[in-house]
Amino acid sequence: MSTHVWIGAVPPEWKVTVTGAATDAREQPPLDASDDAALVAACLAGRRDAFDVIVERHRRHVYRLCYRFVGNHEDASDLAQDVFVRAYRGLRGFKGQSSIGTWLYRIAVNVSLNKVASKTPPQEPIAESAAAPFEHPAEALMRDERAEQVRAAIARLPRKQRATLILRIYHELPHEQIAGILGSSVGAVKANFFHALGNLRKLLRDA
Amino acid sequence: MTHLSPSEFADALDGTLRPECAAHLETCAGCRAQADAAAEALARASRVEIPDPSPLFWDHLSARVRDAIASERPHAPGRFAWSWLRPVTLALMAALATLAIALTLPRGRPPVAPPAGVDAGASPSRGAAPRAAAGPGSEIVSGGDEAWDLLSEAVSEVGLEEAHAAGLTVRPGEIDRAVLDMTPVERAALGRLLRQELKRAGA
Repeated sequence: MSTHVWIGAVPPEWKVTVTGAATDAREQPPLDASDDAALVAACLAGRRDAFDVIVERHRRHVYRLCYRFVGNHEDASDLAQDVFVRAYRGLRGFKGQSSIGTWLYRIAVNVSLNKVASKTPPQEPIAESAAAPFEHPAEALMRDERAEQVRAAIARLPRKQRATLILRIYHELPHEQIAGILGSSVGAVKANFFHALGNLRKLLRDA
Repeated sequence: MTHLSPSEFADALDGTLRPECAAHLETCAGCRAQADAAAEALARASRVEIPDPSPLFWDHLSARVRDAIASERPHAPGRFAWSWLRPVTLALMAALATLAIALTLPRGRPPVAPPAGVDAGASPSRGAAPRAAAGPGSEIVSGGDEAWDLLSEAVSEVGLEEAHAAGLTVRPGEIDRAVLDMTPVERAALGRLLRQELKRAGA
């Protein structure tokens, strides 16, 4: 913080004092080494480059989460951009009660669920992992088909079960963090996860 | 022991089941079957990968975000640019409020003139002109004083709550002295300063 006193430009009996964040480049700390809380503070002090660092740190997770919901690159990249723009706009409302990662996940889940609720996005082909190096084309086809069945089944899960399953399986988040993202209790998240797996199994059996 | 709850099944999948529940799971065929089914669904879902985008995509995404927020109002610079104006704008707000109240006072009270020079050029009679020009609901006419126009515009953007949140308090005596006693020269100087700050803030 710095304090500036204007003199000469205002009537002599006035003393105008300005208190605000310093914008002198010499006083600015390096951003790459800063933690997320410091980056948020820097953003709020007017350093847009601090937000670039936040984007760089979290863009992969945000994009991949969006992709899990919409199933195609174009929509996922648009949603990821939307997530960060919303985050920037709402940065002043971010109180630091959760990590910024959790907060971004929360925004990403909301925008993704809204997107798929309004319209079913076109799905790109995805695959099961652990493909053999010299896999027979027929096997590859079956593998892709199984992956498609799983994705279609996940897309039919209720919203909270779907979000819970994606965050737990594909982002390997602890139940506590998922609870923070979804605004649920830990017990509810665990129960949702179990029910999601049960429903997924039923849907796959019926596919 | 009762059967496992959904939450406990999730613990079983994580390997964090309490010992007494684990012991039940070993002996209860029904719970065992449910746990195995959940584990099977989990294993199947876990195998589904999504394609990685091009390595160039990540920087492209950052650039898109940067472009998108470039049109957004920056967080602090705006606040910084305007913060020094707050005592002034608060004072002006109070002055305008005083004028508005004065102009709508019941008959019998003398009309309150705006600060010297506000209606300069609009009327030779300072006391009467604003009252005539600014009836209830109408705007105060500046009469071509650019500095006053600029100050009025600045005032219109500052809310009382915002000012209060900034920790600024209004003391009527000081406001009267600071604003109503301003000379045209002082207002012109302040106007110049405001214009410079507005230009710098990109307003």
